[in-house]
Parts: sequence; C-alpha cells; structure tokens
Amino acid sequence: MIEFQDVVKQYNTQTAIDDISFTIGEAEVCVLIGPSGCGKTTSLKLINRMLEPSSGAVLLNGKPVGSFNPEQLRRGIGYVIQSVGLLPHMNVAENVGIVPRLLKWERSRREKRTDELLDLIGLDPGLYRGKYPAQLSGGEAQRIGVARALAADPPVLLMDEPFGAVDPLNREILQLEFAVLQRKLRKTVVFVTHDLDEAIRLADTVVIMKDGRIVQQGQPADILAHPADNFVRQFVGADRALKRLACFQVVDHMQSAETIPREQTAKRQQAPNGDGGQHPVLWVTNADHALVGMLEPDPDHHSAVAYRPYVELHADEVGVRPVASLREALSRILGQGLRAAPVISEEGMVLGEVRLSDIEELNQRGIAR
Amino acid sequence: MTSQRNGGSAPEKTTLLGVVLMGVALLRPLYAFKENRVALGEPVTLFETGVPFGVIAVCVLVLLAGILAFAPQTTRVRWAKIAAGLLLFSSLLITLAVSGSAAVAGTEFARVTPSTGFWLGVLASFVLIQGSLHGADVRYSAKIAVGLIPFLVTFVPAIAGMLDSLAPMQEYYNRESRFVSELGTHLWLSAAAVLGATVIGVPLGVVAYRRKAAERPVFALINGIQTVPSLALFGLMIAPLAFLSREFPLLRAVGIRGIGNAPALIALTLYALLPIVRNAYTSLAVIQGSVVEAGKGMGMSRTQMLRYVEVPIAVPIILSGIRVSTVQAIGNTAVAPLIGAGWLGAFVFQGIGQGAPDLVVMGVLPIVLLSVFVDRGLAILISALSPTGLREAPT
Repeated sequence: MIEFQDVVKQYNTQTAIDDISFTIGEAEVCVLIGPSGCGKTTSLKLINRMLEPSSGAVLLNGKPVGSFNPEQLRRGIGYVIQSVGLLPHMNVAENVGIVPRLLKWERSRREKRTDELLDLIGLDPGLYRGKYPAQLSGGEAQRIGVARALAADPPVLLMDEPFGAVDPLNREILQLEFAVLQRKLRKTVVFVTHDLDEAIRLADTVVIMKDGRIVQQGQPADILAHPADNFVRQFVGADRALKRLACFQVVDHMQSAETIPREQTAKRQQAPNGDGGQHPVLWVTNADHALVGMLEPDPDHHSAVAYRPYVELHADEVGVRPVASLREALSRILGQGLRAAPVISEEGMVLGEVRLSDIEELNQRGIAR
Repeated sequence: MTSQRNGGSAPEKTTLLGVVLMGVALLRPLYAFKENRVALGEPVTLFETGVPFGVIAVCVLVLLAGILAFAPQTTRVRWAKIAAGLLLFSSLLITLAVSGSAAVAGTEFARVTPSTGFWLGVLASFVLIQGSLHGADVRYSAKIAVGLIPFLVTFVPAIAGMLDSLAPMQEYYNRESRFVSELGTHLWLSAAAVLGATVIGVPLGVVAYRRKAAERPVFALINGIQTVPSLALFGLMIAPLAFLSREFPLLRAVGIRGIGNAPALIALTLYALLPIVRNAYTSLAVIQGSVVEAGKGMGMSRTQMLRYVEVPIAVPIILSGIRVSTVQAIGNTAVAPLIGAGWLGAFVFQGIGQGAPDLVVMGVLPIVLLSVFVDRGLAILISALSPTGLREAPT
C-alpha cells in the first residue's frame, strides 16, 4: 500500500531522514515511534507531500506520490494532527465537511455524510452539528479531527500524535475508541507517536526510529521481547516484559475454570475430591451463574486438597474481560494475591480463567525465542 | 444563602455606588447662574431650583435605587434599576432646563452653567444603567436601545430650544456655522489619518511578520511614536515640513507647510499606526500554524486557503485594529489646533484662552460623543462582518 524506497530528506546540511525503506501493508496500523527529532513526523509528511524527499521515493499503491497533484493527493488521504486545527470560524458540520466540499460534493450528500460520521465517533449529530470549535472539549475536538479526516472515506489515514494533547485519562479512551473504529473501517493507518504504550495498544507493526534511521521494526510483542540493540532496549524500558503483556489478549490465553454453586461450598470444604490442585482457584457462582466468591486450596494442608474458608468476591474487582490485555489480568492477579484471575462476561458469568503460571510461561518463551 | 436571597445582607455594590454618587450630587450645586459669559457663577442646588416636581422625582428615584440595591438581583430588578437611571437622568436635565429658563427669563446675557451636582448626577445615572446592563442576559439590540435613550432625551429638547438657557448652548449658537464646518473637518481628517495608517500599517504588519529581521525595528519604531507626546510630535514636524515647503514649491502648492493640516495629518497617521500594525501582525500569527497546516493537509489550494481560512479569520482582527485607531484619532485630533489646524479642538483652546469653561464643554462634548458613536458603530459593523464562530458580543 505505502512503500518508502531509499528515502532521504535533507535540510541544508542537516539530514532529517537518512535512507529509509519500509513497507506498510493494506489495512495495517503502522506506528512510527522514536525520540523527538528522529524523523517520524517528517516521514509522515512525505506521504501526503507536505514535504518532498531529497532523494528516493514514496509509493502509494505502487505509484510514486510525486506523480500525483499534491492537492488531489491530500484530498484522498485523511490527515489528523496533534493540534487538531479545526477552523475556528466554521461549525462542526462545516469542519467535517471541508474535504467533501473541496471535492465538490452536493450539499445534501455532505450533510448526510457529516451526520453519519458524528454518529460513528459517538457524538450526537443533533447536539454537535452546530457547535463551534471554541465550545468543544479537547477530547471532542480530537474526535471531530478524526471524523474530518474520514469524511471522504480515504483508504489511508495519517495521524501525527493525534492524542498527544489530551489528558491521560481521555487519551486512553480515545485510543480504545480508535481501535474499535479501526477494526470496523480497516484503513491503512500511519500513526506517529512518542508514547510507547499507545504504540503497543494500537500498532500492528511498530517502526522505531532514531536520528533519521530505522533501528527496528516488527510486531510490538517481538520488539519488546527482543530489542535489537541498546537504544531500543532503553527506549522500551526495563519494564518491557510487563509492557509486552499488553500485546496479548486474555481471550487467547484463557483456560477452562472450575465453578461450583454457592450452596455446595460447605460440602466441598468437608469432602475435597482431591483433584490434585489442577485448578488454582475454585470460582463460586450464584443461581444466575454469576461470580460471587471463591475457594482457594490450602497448600499447608498435606492430606489431598483442602480449602481455605469461603471468600466473597466482587466480580468487577477480580474479574477481567476477554478483550482485556494480559497485563491487566496480571495486575488483577497480583492485586488479589491469587494464582489466577477469572475471565467474566458482561453479566458476570465465569467464562474461564487466566493463570499466573501461563503468564510466566509466555514471558519465558517470548524472551527465549 | 437564603437570607441573602430574601433581601438583606449583601447589597449590589455598583448600584450602591450610584446611590452614593447621587447623594453627594444632591449636596453640590446643580448649576451656576451667571449674569454674563465671564461673570462668576452663583451656585444653585437642586433644592433651591424651585422645581418641586424635579426635587421629588430625584429624591424618590434615589430612594428607589437604594432599595433595589438590597433586593435580589433578578431580571426584573435589573430593568427597574435601568429605568430608575434613565428617569434620574431625564429628571435632572428637565429640572435644569426648567429652572434655568426661569432664571434667565427677561435678561439679555444671563445663562446657567451645569455644575458639579449635575455632572455627578449624570455619572450616577450611568453607573446605575451600565451596572445593571453589564453581565445581564440582555440582547444586544436592547442594550443599544437603552444606550440611545439618554441621547434622545438630550437632543430632542436641545433642538426644540428647551435647553437654550444653558451656557454651552449659548456658546454653540454664537458659532453655529463654524461648528458644523469644524465637525466636518474633524471627521474627515480623522478618517483620512486612519485610512493612511491602514494603507501603510497593514503591509507593515505583514512585513514584520514575514521577515523576522524587520519585526523588531518596525515595532520599536511605532511603539516609539506612541510614547512621544502628541504636542511634541506636532512640534517636531514643523521644522522639516517648513524646510521642504520652502525648498519645493510644488509641495507648498498642495498645502504642505510647517503648520496647518499637513503636519497634523502626518502626526495623526503615525499615531494611528500602532493598533493597525499590531493587529495585522497578530492576524497572521493566528492564521499560521495548525489551522493552515490542517487546511493544506486536507488539500486546499492557495486560493481556497485564502477564501476558506485566511480572510475569514484575519479580517475581523484587522478591522478591530482599525476601530481602536479610529477612536484614538478622533481624540488625538483635538490637540491639532495647537499647530494651526482647526477642528473641534479649536473651541477647547479658545475656551481655555478666554477663560470661558462653557466653551470648553461645548468643544469637548461633541468629541466624546463622536468617539462613543464611532466606536459603537464600528463594533457592530465588525461583529456583523465576523464569521459566527469567531463572533463576540460587541464590546
């Protein structure tokens, strides 16, 4: 879809980009990351010809971007910047409709598309259509920036630190929303950030840059497991093992769990059936199969399997959703001092469990490979 | 909270200020009766005017405003205060006119000069009105209407001849034809100065923004001009202009001399530069950056950028600079008579020279009113020209 071929960008004597080549596949989220001045934003701007390379070429669908008229090219590529850049004198609908207007769409089609997009980003069109940028919160403005980039349904989206100016709490919400949106839209996204957690959360592939060169590229989990050199090792941080867990979803590492109804707990405690501790925890459910408590094996008891007294649990506090990351699961496990965390559905039903031993093994395997 | 709401502990401070001002005004003379133009005045307080209607009206209105200050400030109370302020102003003026006419009846040169009591009373009325309008959820058109009432209340009786006993009116009658022509000159020379400053200032602001090397010198120069007192600037120009005029007959032929309109116009233009240059500069600074990057990134051509982004954002800012300059120019023009130019300021200086304060008032009032009207008018115009998202209520 997008290919960098031996691209060099020089400013006078300074080299901003020093001969990079890489390919971004269709419907892929490629995150360019690195310290400031590494050339990540410059690379992004070479794609829509906001900047021109000194040598080499950027190809879009096999054709060099230099062969397109720059204005036509840009109208076909969504562009989101950190400062959003909503035009202050236009309301939300007019802002979202700029590119369709440049493409000379009819008014009725533009209006329909605007409402559609506001719905898509979760803002009520009736409420937001007529608002002006000055009346929006930072998060709302950023969402509308994304909607504006999507207006003409471009296949490619360039995002330059799009959530960088939003507070951490809202940034995470925006990232999750964007991940959901991307699953639906399947755009080819080039995403620039200096926030590693953001990269791990969103990227299919990560390209780590330094001084205008690519130091490592690959899937986030691989980079975290095997940093190519000292720079990457430092960049991803000493807690890379923990960060790496954020790349995995609970649903892929779930084991079956054993549950028993609440009324059977007393019986079970008196007569352990000696399953040899295969399940680290017994999850106790109520009549609706919702998690209400647990029985934990007592390791100090030598005869067969004995259980400690029944403990009541709050499903929200101990349970993780199937879509959560293993990092989150680990934090639940450690937070409760258990050997596993239950995986629960929206209704609180126990779907399975994530075991500490599995997480440890995954970690060992990743680093050894 | 409840006790405050039910009226009691916390009075509304602005209203209270108005009431106190009016209280002081009552103790001061409303006007001074003069046998002739330069005679020493004889002070007359409101209670000595012999207009019982006026005395009662003013006292009742002050009491009413005092009570309203302690009431919860609802919309209805605010409008009541505005009405009280308008009525107070009207009552003072009518009392002054009626009593003044009676006082000068049958005399030839006698006149009455509005005195501290009157001016303080006017101030108190405006404190009441403005204090209640400010921050109130009132439509702008209603604010304009309220603002116009005092002028109607003044101009209609003035034109009808009911204020003829007042000294400034007498001074006006003595110079009626000259007043009209000076007013015209004042207006068009102020306008010419602003126009000149716009023609020079906008490109200067653009240059200052585009060329970093020019930024400091440009602003140093025009800031420097602002710090030179107007009188000094007028004076400074006499010598070089006189020289030029002497050396180049062509210049003399078009009216450029060391004194007169030419140096005044140049000085006024220079003074008008700062707000215009600064706002032109600011407008460019505002449209640079993220807005332009976003526009370019979305695929706007140069002309589309100009049409959709740059003009709509920059024009209101530039116009605001012109508005500030215009108001400044109208005020600065008052000093121009000192170097031989005419205009409304001439009456002020004549008045000072002749020891006739009424003539000073007669010269000053139109300048003040002109500034206020032009300022309001331009504010409304700019607001109407601004795109909705950038529009602020005219201030």
